Amino acid sequence: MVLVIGAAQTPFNRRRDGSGFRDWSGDAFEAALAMSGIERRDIDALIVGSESDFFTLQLNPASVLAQDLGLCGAETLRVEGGGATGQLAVHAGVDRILSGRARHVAVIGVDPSASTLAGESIRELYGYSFDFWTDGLSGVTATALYALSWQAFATANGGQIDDLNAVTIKNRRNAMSNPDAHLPREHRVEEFAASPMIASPYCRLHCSPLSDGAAALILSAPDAAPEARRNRAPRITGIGAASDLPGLGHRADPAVFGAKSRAAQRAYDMAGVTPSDIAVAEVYDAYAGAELQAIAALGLSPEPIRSLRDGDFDADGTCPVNLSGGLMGQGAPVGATGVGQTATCALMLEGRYHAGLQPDRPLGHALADTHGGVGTTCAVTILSAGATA
Amino acid sequence: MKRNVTLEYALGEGWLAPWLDGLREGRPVASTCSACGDAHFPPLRVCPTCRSRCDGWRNLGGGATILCRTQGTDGDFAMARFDGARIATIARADRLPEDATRAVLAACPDDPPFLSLVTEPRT
Repeated sequence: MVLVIGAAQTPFNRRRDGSGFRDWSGDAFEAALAMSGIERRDIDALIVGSESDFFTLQLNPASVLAQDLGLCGAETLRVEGGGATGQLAVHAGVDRILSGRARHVAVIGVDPSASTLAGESIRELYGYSFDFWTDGLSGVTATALYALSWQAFATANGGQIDDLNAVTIKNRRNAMSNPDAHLPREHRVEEFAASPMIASPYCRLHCSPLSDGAAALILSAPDAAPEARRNRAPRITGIGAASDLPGLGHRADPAVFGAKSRAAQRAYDMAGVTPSDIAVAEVYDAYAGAELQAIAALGLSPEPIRSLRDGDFDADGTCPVNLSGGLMGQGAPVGATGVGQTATCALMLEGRYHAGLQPDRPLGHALADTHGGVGTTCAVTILSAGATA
Repeated sequence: MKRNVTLEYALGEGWLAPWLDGLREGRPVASTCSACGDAHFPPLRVCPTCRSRCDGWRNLGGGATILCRTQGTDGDFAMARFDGARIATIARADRLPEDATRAVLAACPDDPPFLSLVTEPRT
């Protein structure tokens, strides 16, 4: 196991204050470091999750961040896997510790997905995160591909527009108690009919926003953690990743996130838990329907649409999903997303999450889930409460 | 601070060249696996059925069946399966009637070419 001795994130939003990704990385890192009880000289490796040099205009971002954070001399690595970038960076940090190559690792996820480029440019770039030669050149957008995948899922599982609205309302309502959230909203049902159709059935309200921001973790080998954190800190007990064919049409069923199921099973097996053990989950809801498709793939419910309608994923439900607001409510600075999800789970397991969102019951295990493409590059992390949380 | 970067890429078409040539001419050219006989459009380098290297090309010739479709401000796109292909593809559908269930590949002389569907001619 690997301890999460420090966890923090900046607000996820559209920055208009003249700050940049190096500022946000520094803010998230310093907060996580302060929580960890270790010194920067104790850190053996810096792993940076950042999706695209097009956003930062900085190749080898880990080198300049190591300089900014006072970590020169440490091993540095940049990780990229589309929407799964942040979670894969967490996995790379875990691997460093489990292999014995590092005792303390800083993981930073960061992307300026909102403020540095025009929305049209970002949309074009995201189109290239699918197969550039087949899908990307056609001009197809992420929203259109997710819409086609949802249509197949809805047909097979009885999904309705009302279900997309319900996911949106739930996540943005959760975000209202999250001071770091990009889109805290109390939506009214009639707003959806007036929202522009982006790619049927997805209207604008069903889409997650483009955000700026950073998140950071300080990971530690159990025997290297400061005494004050050793028992209390939550643990990363399982990690799993898997891939699928990038082309939706290439898959046996475009409705199913098969790679996510494989990634989750690997993480469950490593942690020695089953889906029924998961008390809270931060799930990759780039689009409203993707949350339900992910829940199905993760095995969190055999009938996710019925469970949604029954309120199982609500803040007071049996397995709250996206208490942070998820991508739809909290926001989506791509590289920071997975690191932020893991930080959220760690803080909840330790009882340190935002008032109003911190569950009032003891939590045993939490799950963080991301993917790149439409369920193509999948990464799942299981966290477990510390001994004295 | 503003910074404008203009990038002009010269992309090698490599093993995908026969497929891209087909798009330019309106011919659905699939990669084929001689081990199991499957044809893949868009092409795959390794057959997902038997994991053998795809070692040939075949002009599928016929039309495609529209499986599902999405429309909105992002454009009009369809998932369609070409006759004879094992897998489906994503294509532009903005030149198809809304109720179309069948289509053919449009010739696309643009550089780079892309997948676009048009109405199947009456026979």
